[in-house]
Amino acid sequence: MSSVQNVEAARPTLESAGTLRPGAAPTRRWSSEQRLPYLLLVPALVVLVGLIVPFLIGAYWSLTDYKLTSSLPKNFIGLANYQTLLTSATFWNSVRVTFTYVIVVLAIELPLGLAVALMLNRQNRIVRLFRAVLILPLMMPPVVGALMWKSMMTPDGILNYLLGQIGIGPLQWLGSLQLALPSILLIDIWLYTPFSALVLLAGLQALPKEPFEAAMVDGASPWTSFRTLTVPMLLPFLIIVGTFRGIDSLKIFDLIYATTQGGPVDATNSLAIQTYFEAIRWTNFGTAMAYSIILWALCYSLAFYFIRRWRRAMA
Amino acid sequence: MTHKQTWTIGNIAYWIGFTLFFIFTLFPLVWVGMMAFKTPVDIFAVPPKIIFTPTLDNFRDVLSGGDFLDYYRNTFIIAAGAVTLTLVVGTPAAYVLARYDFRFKEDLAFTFLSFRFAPELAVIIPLFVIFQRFNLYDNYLGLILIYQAITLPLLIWLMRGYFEDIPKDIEQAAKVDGAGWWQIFSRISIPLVLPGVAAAAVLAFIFSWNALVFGLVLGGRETYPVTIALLGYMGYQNVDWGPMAAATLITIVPEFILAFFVLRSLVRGLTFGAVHGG
Repeated sequence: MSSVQNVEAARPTLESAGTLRPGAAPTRRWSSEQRLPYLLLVPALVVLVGLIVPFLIGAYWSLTDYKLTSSLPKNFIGLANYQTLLTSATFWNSVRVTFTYVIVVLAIELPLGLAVALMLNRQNRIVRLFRAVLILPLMMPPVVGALMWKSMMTPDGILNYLLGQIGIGPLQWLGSLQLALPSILLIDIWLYTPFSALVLLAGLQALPKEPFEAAMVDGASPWTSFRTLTVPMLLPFLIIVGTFRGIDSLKIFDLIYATTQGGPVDATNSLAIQTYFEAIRWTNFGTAMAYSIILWALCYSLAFYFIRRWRRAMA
Repeated sequence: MTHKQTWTIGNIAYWIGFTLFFIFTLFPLVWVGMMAFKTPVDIFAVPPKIIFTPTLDNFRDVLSGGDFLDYYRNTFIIAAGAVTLTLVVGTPAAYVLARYDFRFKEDLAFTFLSFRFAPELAVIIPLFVIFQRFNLYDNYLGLILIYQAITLPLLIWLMRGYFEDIPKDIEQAAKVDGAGWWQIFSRISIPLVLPGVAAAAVLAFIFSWNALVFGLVLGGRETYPVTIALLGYMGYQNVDWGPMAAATLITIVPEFILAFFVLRSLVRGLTFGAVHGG
């Protein structure tokens, strides 16, 4: 303590010494001390620029007729790629697949995650064990989750066997035009409902107790206090789950690539899958980047929307 | 539970719901885990076999023949390299974003975060051409660089939160004692956030380990990650389910062990610092 006081006492002397000599030395020392932290931002900024520059180059390509395998130089064609997309059935099919995916994911994983979180919001050994189990799907590569389910969704696989026991099926699962997308969504729900549940559980555990006790004293039913207290107070957490799951669903790639690669026909051809094949299979880099930019714009609009709602919910 | 358990309708519904979701979550893991120890005959047996004589043939198959171990090593090099680079580059940046005020600070922080929400292909497709020109295609260094898109936003946002959690008084006291910026950062702040650094590094490693699309487009025979090796077990007609299941286990068990060490920080990490606890 005394040493702190000594330094405090010494400080004015140091400062006045600085003003006594208004030369470069004290100013430089002060400013280098101040500049140093900002210099330490530089490496991260270099990486950031390294990521943004390719993106900008790609954004320019979306305005050209760039084809990787063509020997002709690429030409600037303005918005022609985008105009072509807006009249292309493939594009609108991808939009439909992607939006269906996002809406189903949010409509199921949010309420189901909340239900699971409510079930886990008590203290006993089974609940604690299950909480640990929930983490497993979240830690594995999505590709692994997809392959696990794919091995169970074969025509003579375990799922058809179990459904057969209760007189259903056999189903074609990933091979069926109607069921391919729902099958992938089932895998998504298995992989990511734990995310929703764990975040909402953290939310439930952070809720204050008093409003609920007051509501109980006032004779409110559990349903009423859930609707008027739990859900509104959980809103910031629901928005966070919505942000992560909504945007990850918009750019869904791994699960589909590992299961159907967009098929059968184009039943699961999301925007990201179509972007990939447009670039890597057909080498139409101009078109592929137009797809990317549209997907990027969708992701950012959703992110902005959610972040604004989140800030309002936190205020 | 402290109060007496009563078998009301609500309670029965609770346990039915609980059991159903428990089975739903655990069943695929158990089933594929069993598959890894089955012979092909047992895998395709009808009715499915719950009791069988376990075999290690699938593991032998994965570990001896083929390139699985090469892919495994590739993933390790890329993920460890990406995490190391991110720690060096990102930790000081996170500290500055936590402790100093300057213009456009929040814009900068959100620009880092935005790579978590951007479609990966928007950066990867241009890099497919750029990397080939600079000899970074199918190259560990190239992949470590692009994996920064996964690891850097995570690390910066997590570490920023951990640095903000340190009471300002501690650093203030050191400053008063005459400690310089670097001394405070390296001797006080870093040791205090070390558990946070570990959690962020482990999560960044797991996310890198799980990635697919970066390696798929920018990797090649020399550098393909393990996720691509797993996809390789599915041919057009026949699938080697047994070896695939064994390879799956070899891929995910180390992740589960790592995750176990950072259990307390998982929710915070998965939400990039937005949600604490859980």
